[in-house]
Amino acid sequence: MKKTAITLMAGCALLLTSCGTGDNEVKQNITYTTVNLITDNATGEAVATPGAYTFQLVTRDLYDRTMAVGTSKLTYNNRDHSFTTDPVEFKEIINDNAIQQCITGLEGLVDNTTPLKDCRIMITGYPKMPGDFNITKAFTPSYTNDKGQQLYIPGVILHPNIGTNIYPMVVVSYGVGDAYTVRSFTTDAFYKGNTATSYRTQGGEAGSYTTDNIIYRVIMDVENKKAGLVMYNAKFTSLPQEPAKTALYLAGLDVKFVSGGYEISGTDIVPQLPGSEGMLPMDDYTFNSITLRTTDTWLNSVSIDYKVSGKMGETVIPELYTGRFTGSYVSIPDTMKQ
Amino acid sequence: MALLITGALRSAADTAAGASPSAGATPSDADASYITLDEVSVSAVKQMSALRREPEAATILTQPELERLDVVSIKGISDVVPNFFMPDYGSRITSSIYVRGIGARMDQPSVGLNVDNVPFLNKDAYDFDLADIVNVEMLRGPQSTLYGRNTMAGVINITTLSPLRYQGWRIQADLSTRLRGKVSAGWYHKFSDNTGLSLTANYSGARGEFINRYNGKRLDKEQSYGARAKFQWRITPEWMLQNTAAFSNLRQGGYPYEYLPTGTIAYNDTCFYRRLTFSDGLTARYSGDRVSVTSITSLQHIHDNMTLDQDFLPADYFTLTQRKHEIALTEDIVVRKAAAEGVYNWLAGFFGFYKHLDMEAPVTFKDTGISQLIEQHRNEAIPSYPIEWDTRSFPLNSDFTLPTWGVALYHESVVTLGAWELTAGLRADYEKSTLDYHSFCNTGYTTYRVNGGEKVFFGKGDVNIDDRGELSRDYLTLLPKIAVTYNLPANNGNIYAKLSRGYKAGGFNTQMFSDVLQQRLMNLMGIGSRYDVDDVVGYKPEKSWNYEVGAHLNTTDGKIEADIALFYIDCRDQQLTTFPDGTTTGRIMTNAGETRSFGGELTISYRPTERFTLTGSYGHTNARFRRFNDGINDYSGNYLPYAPANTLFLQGVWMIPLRKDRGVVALDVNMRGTGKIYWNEANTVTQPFYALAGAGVTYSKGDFSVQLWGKNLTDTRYHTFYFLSMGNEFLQRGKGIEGGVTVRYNFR
Repeated sequence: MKKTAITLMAGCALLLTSCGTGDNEVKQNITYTTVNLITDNATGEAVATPGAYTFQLVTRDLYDRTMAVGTSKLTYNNRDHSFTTDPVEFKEIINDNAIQQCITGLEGLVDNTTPLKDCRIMITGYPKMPGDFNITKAFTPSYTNDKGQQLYIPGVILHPNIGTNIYPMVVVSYGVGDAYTVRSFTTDAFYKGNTATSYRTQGGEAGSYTTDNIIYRVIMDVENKKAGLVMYNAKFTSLPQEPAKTALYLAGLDVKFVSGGYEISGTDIVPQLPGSEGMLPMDDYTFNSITLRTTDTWLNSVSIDYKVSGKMGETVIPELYTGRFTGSYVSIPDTMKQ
Repeated sequence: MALLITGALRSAADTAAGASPSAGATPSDADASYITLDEVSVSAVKQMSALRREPEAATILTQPELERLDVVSIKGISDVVPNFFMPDYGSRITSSIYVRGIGARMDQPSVGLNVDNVPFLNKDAYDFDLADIVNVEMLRGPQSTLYGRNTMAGVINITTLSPLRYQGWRIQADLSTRLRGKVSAGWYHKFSDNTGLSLTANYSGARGEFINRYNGKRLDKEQSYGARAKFQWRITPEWMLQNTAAFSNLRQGGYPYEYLPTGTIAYNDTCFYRRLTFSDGLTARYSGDRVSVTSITSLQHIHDNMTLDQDFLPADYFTLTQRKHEIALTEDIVVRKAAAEGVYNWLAGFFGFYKHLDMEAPVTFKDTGISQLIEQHRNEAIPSYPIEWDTRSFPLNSDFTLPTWGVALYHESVVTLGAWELTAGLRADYEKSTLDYHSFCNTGYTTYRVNGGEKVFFGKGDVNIDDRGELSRDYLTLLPKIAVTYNLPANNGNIYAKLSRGYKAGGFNTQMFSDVLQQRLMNLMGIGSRYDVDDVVGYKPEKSWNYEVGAHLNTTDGKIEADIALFYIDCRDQQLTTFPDGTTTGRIMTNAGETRSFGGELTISYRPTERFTLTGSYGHTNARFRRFNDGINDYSGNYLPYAPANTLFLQGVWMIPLRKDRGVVALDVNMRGTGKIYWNEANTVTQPFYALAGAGVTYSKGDFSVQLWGKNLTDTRYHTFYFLSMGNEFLQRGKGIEGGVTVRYNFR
């Protein structure tokens, strides 16, 4: 997606500060926010707290660039911790039409005492979305507060991806000594992958349908451990009488942070269909269960399982649709995995 | 060189279509065979020698033959030229041309058109009447190396009469049994041996043949008129200037589409096409001792309005209006070796163009369309929240601005080694196209909630669409050509083999915006996939490789001439409409196809005596999809639609001089045949082969002639077009039996 790549480059180029040191080198700093998932390796407990990382890029020439990374917002044990790494060689790759800036082999001390372990950090844009899906124009759930202001659902750390600029994302992986494992995730992520659904028709016939066109968006309120899930281009059968729904919004899901990952789930959720007249509660199709689980240590890949009961007139049809999605919101290049 | 061209073209003109001395004219009169003495035609500039000496499959129709067949526009040569099919349907905006299976219904043309050196860039203006045509050349196969964009299937060059060749008045009038009439008048004057001016005007009108059963009115009424001014100035023996300015105005009904289940034409909303065109072409030529330089500058302006009852049914579904205003400028500079002689000959050229199009294309949804295409579709998808539209008519508006420009450099070299000629050419072509669009709509609907079987008010939905955007594409293409020609001894002709690349420009299909807006409307109601406009309306260039062998043969006494060609065309990135990912609505324009086409052409002219000529031309094309999946069906292996498998033209002309100089009577019997035609990609609807018999008797004496003619004398029923709209099938019937009289009078 050209727009993503260009915006990321532009975003990286629009640095907060830029100064020459007088030795033909230019220093640039930029800070990106994210959410840290910090797991206590001893107990297995995990907490998610807002984080921010500052990237300092030093450029001597086109082939001689280094990056150092620092944070003062690594929050665990009810206080903020900080570190700044030593500078390392800076790499940039293009993967799936998104630019990814990978920094590996970072070394430093947390609070000047505890060494960082196997620190790898990446700034990335979204990989290419299907041609008919534009992130900047996708439906975004919102609400109106008491003051009449339209806001996005609470707890969103990053601006939802609207407008013409797409905010880049930070992906981190490191240990604080042997005590804690730190990963990051974005609280407004678009997932693409494969959805396989089995369904039953009104006549009772069984069928199955597979598509790569459904895009899932997960927006999390980390503080209140709540989330909303939007399914774009939602279509569960191959039947022509079922056109794709532009979006289906499932609100009020519960978030649970577990060792090295998280789960988002809900039961008996009535999806809402956004239209010009407002949100339509689609109680003819109730998500009896929906569960999202992270499926890898980078927190980029998920599986989503759901069961939907339908209503034909007054007749309830259990398990009208049973579906499973597997996909990711960002790809992890091999450089980062080594 | 001028004499060489004259002599060669004279030979071609005399024999290509069995031409005999033009009825009603003496050899010293405006005979097409002498036209090039004072003409600078684009084909003469770009060809190294006479067309029959070139490695080209070409047909030349000269004035006598054109008059005999009553040809006043390029539709008239359909089927006369082998493998050339230009069906007459719809209105004059529809100029779909198919050559060897390659053709286009929408957007970019596959065949180029030059009239008095003016290249017509928009095929919406291809169909117009011309007075005093002296020469129509149709070069088949890709001409992209020398002529550039949108000549993938060939190029047509039309030349009108020169005032340096003929002076005086030329008047023509004709009337047919179907109450179609034409009248034209031309004044040709030579101010000096080197300066001439001609002014021509023409008018045509038609009562209309087809009746709309809905209101009893004739649908295909037509009135058009035009004028042309042609100025030629031989400034010095080296310098020549030629300028042709023309305009035409057309008001036409059209679109006599019959609904297949009923076989009748009946629709309730109006259909018409109105067009105003103006063009000017300035040709300047310098002929030096070593090189000649020709500059061809043109300006074209089109202003038209097409309005359709888009469903072509008595019900109120929707109507479409397309109003456009286009200006185009072109410049073609050709530098070539002065005399086409010796071992090595060459030409090189530069071509540039700019085209600016402004268009408004609103689609108005009406009562039945709103209820069946919008409300019903939406309510079936979300039955628990049925909607009702607030109005029973509303427009979906789209305004477009499309500036397009391009430049090209080209070169061709010919090496002559004895009887062998080796030709190699290359064109580098760059083009950039931009689309600025503005789609807007203001309407609304009311949503209800079904509660216990009752409809309860839920909410109001406003539909306020105001989308603007800009899309841009550019292309750089190399278009090579190589050919080998062997010239037979005793001037008996030649044999050739050729490999050439064809190219049809990419761009934007604005007609897709109605699909985009409909999907946008559905999105606002919560259903349907979202479109990426660039993916839907943008398409890449179409390219082909053309492999051809052929021969131009003639007996030493010139009584028999034959042109033969065998071809194979491999076409990639075919521009086709498809459905995205399993949906049944919302087409997109894609480069989805690979096709292959092979076949052959044969033209024979036999003149056993000076007074008797037999001509026949036959073309066969086997054109199929090698790969085409439209998202729902796989049509690989099926025949290409709309391109006929066979074209056939047979003609006998017999000149009978009357005794005591009482004049000449010419008898002409001819037959045109076309088909089989597949009308759809699924190959389920076809038009079998059909033949249309024609005949004419012409009496001429001195400057006067009167011709009685008949077309489709057996009143054969056939169809010229088929299409689907909202799942409904429509056909257009071809014209039935027709007779008429044409009177010509030339006086000085």
